[in-house]
Amino acid sequence: MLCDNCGKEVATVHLTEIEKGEQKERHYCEACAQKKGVVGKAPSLQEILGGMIQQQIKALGEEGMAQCPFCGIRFGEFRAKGRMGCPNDYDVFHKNLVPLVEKIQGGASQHRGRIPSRAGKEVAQEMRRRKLKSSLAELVKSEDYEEAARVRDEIRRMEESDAS
Amino acid sequence: MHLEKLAKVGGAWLRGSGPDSDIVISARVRLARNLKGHRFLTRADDEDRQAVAGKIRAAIGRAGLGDIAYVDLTDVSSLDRMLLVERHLISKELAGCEGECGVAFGPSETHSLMINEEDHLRIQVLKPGQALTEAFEEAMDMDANLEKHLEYAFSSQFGYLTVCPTNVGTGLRASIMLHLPALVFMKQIDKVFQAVSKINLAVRGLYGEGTQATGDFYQISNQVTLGRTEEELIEDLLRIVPKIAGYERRSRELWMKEDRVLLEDRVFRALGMLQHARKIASEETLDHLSAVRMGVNMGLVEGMDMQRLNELLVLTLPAHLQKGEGEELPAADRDIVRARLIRDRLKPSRG
Repeated sequence: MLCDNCGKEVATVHLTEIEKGEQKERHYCEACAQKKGVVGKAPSLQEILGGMIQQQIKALGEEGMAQCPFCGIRFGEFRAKGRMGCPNDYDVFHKNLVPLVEKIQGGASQHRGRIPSRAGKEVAQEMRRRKLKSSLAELVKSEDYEEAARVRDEIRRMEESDAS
Repeated sequence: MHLEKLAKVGGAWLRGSGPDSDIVISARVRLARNLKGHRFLTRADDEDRQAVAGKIRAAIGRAGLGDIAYVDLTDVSSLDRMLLVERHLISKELAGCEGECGVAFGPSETHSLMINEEDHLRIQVLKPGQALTEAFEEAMDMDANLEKHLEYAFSSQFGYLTVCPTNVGTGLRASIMLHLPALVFMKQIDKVFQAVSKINLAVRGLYGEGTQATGDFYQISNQVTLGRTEEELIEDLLRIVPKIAGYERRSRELWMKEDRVLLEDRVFRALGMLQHARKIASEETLDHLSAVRMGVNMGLVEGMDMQRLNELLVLTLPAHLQKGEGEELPAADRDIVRARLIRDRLKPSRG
């Protein structure tokens, strides 16, 4: 069956209308149906995905709107896709990111592995301080107060030498 | 390009020998790295991609990584990309990349550097058998050499920064490929998976994340990448692998003791199919190769060269078949070519 409107394309949209008490059948092709406003345009995958991201941003409220000034990604977009936009995002979204990372990484949120040799002395120092702090918490938990006191003193010494 | 030669031989990672090579097929280590000051590929434009690729290629040149050649994937057909996936030289993700991307690897095919995959750089070492420690050391070594010429994105809290937080920290994913036909047959494999997931390890299919395990081949890898040192992650895997291998071995013995006829029937039926079929699909091939491989390892099938058998795991895959034939073939024709190739390679010895 061909389209009632253009008479060229195959009709794929079929509707029954009641006009002045009389039942009328109409058959349109996709393009004509859209032109007549009978059906809306089918959203593309891009639009569906975009909609999902917008939804996620809205659902997260202010948190979802937070945006990285370097790459422009919003936290809600990251949540929807699970992919970061740039290294900077780890700083920008830090507060909201920590619980997420802990969930993914079996409770951990502190790197304990290798440090790039080019990262510089400060990074190595900072990592050492963070490591000591986490082991201090562990020691207190396991009630090894003697060792905990030693670690606490070491952290104190590090912070003092940083300040001077 | 040297890609033509690849289609004729199986990957180096299939040439395993040694004590556990009946069960442990290969070991892989990959490191995810990104460059400081560059957007990730999720938000990168063409210029970013080119800048990143340029920096990494220059670093590869200067790092003295030995005999390594760069293949610009923008120049490579989709068939050749599939060939590289089948050889585990690139990931499925990289095979589908648009814009500037590529891979560098040497003739031994054990080391590969993927550029502009999900992360800017992925360093991979793939070794036959249970050479996980070796693979790990070589990957770290390559990383240390490259790092002299590249500034990586790194944070003192999250470690090496990656596109996906599932890789952050060490950026290290280590995996071991295992052949576990008896555990599958005995329906014990789910128990293994449960045990493995409890200690933060994951089970994946033959081609990594999101792929199905086929032909009883499984990859066990670390789930967590943050909060542990690289060495600890490797040790976790090294500890569990002999246990799973032992479990598989005991299941094979039990199967032999309890129903030797059924076991032999399965192995020899599979061998018969491979030696005589006139058309055979990829998946069926893998299932039969799995059974025959187990039969050879258990001493049921004699006079079969294990390496020839292992090589068929790769040579019968679609891209390898088509490269071997020198033309693109529809699936139905591939099944005929595949059956012929297998018959040629597994000719029964006449005595």
